[in-house]
Formats: sequence, structure tokens, C-alpha cells
Amino acid sequence: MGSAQRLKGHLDPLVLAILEDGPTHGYGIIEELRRRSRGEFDLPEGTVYPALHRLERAALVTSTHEMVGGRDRRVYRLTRGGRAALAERRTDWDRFASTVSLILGVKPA
Amino acid sequence: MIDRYLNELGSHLRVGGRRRARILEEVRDHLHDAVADRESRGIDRERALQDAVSAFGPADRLAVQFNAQVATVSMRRIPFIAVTAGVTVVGGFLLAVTTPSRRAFPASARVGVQASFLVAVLGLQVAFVAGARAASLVASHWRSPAAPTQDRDLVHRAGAICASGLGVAAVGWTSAVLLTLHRLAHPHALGVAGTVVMIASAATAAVLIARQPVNPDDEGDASPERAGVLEVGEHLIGAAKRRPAPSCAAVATLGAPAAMPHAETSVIAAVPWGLGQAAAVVTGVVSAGALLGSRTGCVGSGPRSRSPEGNSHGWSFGSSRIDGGSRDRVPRVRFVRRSRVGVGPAVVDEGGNAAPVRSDRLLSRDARRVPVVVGHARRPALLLEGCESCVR
Repeated sequence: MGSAQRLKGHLDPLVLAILEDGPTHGYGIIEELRRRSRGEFDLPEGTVYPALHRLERAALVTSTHEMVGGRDRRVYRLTRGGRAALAERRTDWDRFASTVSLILGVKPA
Repeated sequence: MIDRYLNELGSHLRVGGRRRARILEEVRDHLHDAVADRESRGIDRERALQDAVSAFGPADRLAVQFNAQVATVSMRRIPFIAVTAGVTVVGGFLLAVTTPSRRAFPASARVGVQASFLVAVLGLQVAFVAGARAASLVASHWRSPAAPTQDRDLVHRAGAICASGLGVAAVGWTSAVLLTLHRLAHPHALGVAGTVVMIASAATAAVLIARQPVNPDDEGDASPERAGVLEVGEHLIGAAKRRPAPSCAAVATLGAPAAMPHAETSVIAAVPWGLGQAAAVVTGVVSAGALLGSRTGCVGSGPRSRSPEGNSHGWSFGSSRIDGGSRDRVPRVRFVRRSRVGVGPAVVDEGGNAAPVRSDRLLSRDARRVPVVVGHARRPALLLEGCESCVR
């Protein structure tokens, strides 16, 4: 199964987690996602934009035009609601991963 | 090469002007960054362009995701358009009946006026049911950024039926008002204005709803976010589907007091109206049920269907795996619009052979319930409870 398929449903919290460290643009998010996953999540780069638009509609992120590296870019930043949603997803994931690890007999990382 | 990609993406996008411009601008910026990044690592420009476009992913698949989001936003507008139009049509009627016609009301026009009223009331009831159906489904997807295709389609269809019902109500009331005005020596201006408001509102609603994009080829989220209390309408519809006869009787009973004023005389005189209401409800459910997604058995909206074993996880479909999603739920399946066997739900076996389903038998109480898979070639979906006899 490709990483894009495997990430389906999980991309939004990953994007929120990356934006938690500070505002960035779409290309920066995909680069950071690749770096943090050590190249494991090599998904089509375009998929990050529908996710960002979806998160913006849900008021979990906002976007503004800013100069980045001398160029005008749309930059996304986390909202207060986005931070709360991220905290909730972390708790959910922790519980889910612990349970699956328990059943599979795998020691949680 | 970037421009070619942007042109292809633009040709697949079915979103409004500002959103389109923003998407294309972001994609252009991203591709320029990606090319510059690769060039800084010593890759020649031609190769950097090819790699950047290739890494971005197919334009059509990307457009589909944006289209589904936009269609979901459009879907949410439909109940608001319907409610606004309903209020305006009723407002137009109230405006029209301020005409001081009662004293001058000629007996010869009474039958025509009453018949027009009857048509108007039936149209209004159809509009109310369809509008409520659309509102219920939209509410259940309030937190979903991209509602499933079938649900968007269903809301659109319910909205169109609602606008049609309002049109019938507007025409009926207008006829009644005009029949009355016709007999007056000095037609009241408010009466004429009311009829114009009614007709214009219904027509505007029909046009606005027809213009909302459904983007039927663009998949939404198969496991949408739960909407909590906003799903109450879907739960009620699910209950009505499980017990259709008592539900119809309950609706008819609740409708009877509303019918009584029509009789204008006594409770006994209201009985035919009550029976008429009940007949209208049952007829509406039988004839328009499939269109409104209220009579498709397990194929349809409402709370999540369950398999006979209570299994709510993925089911196999040919080479595809259909995941039930997390949170203990299964994908919801609605009236399948373009099955390979024509319009309507279909049972599809693991070999991909499809057979049409008689949706009216899906609710058969005595039928032996068996798990079946419903869907069509492009978009397999689930039916977790069905019956052998529902296959034609």
C-alpha cells in the first residue's frame, strides 16, 4: 500500500502538527513532512493543498500572504481551534496506537 | 511545462473564480519552489521541471478533491435557499390574502378557489418534506469538509423537489387569489403583489438550486465526521425506514389537527381531510421515497447500517477492500444513480456482476436477511442488510 493511501484520514493532524512549530507555506509543509517521516511519507505533493483548504474551511488554520525568501507566498498558521483539535487527535491516536500495539504484541515506540 | 500542468488542472477544476485563481496561484508557487529547490541541488532545469510536476501528482486527481469540497459547500446552501423561498412564498400568500375579498367572494368561484388551495397545500407539503430531508442530510454532514457524492446528489435532488413543491404551492395560491381578484370590481394591489412574490420566489429558488454544483464524479469523504446532535434527523429517518407503516400512521395522525381548519365546520368534517393527509403521506413515501432516499432500505441515509453479524468493518469487493472507517461505522450507501444495470441500486457479486435490486422489497419484513454488496462498477458501496427476494 502506498504512503498516500496509508495516510488517508491522517494527513490533517500531521499538517496541524507541522504548523504547530510556526507558520509556513504549502511547499514548506510537504518538505517538513518528508523530513520528519525520514522519507517514509513520500506522498504526491499536491495532496497537501486540499488538506490545507479543508482545514481552513474548518477554521483550524488561517492563511495570509507573506514574503518568504523574497517571494510572495500564501502562508498558513494554526488557530486556537487548530491547537485544540491537534491535542484531541494526539490523545485519540495515542489510545488507538497503544491498543493496536497491545493486540499485535508490539512494544509501543 | 508548469503552465501546461496548470492548464490541465484548471480544465478539471469546477470551482468558482476566486477559489480557482487561488488554487492555481498556490500550485504555481509550489512548482516554482520545487523546481528552484531541485536546481539548487544541481539538477538541470528540464529534469527539475519534470520531477517537480511528477512529484506534485496527477492534475485530475487533485482537482477532484477540490471539487468535492466546493460541492459540499454548495450542498449546504440548498436548505437555506429552500427555507428562504418557503418563507417568501408563504409571505407572498399572506400579502395576497390581505385583499379584502371575503365579503365580495362570489359563490361561483368557490370550487375553483378550494381546488387551487388544495393543490397549493399539497405542493407545500411536498416542499416541506423534501426541504426537511435536504436539511437533515446537510446537518448530518455539517462537520464533513467533503460530503460523499451520493449525499450531495441526494440533497440536490431533494432541493429540486422542494423548489418544485413551492412552485406548485405558488401556482395554486396564485390561482386562488386571481380567481378571487377576478371577481372584484377593484382588484387590490397587494393581492397582485403577493402573487408576483410567490411565483418569483419559487422560480428563483429553482434556478439557484439548479445552479449549485453537485460535481457527481468527485468522491467525498466516505467516513465523514460525526455531527452529533445534528444527526437527529437522520436517526429519525432511519427509525421511519425500519418501521414504515407505524411511521406513516404517526405522520398522518400528527397531520390531522393541521387538516381540521380546512374543514371549517366540525371534527367529523375534518375526517376526509385527515384521511386525505394520510393518503398523501403514504402516496408520497411510495412514489417519491426513492428520490428522497427515504425508502431504499439499508441503501440510504440514516444512522449507520449494520451487518447481520454486527460487523462494521471493511468488506471485500472483488479486488477492492471497502473500509468501514474508524469509529465503528460503515460507509453509508444511498440510491445508486449510475449502476451498470441502469438507474437504481444493484447487487454486485464478487465477480463484478450486477443485478438490479427492487428497493421496495428491501423493507420486506418476512424476507430472509442476507448480507449483500451494493454498488456499481466505478464506485462500489455497501449494503449490509438485504434480502434474497429483493433481487429481480
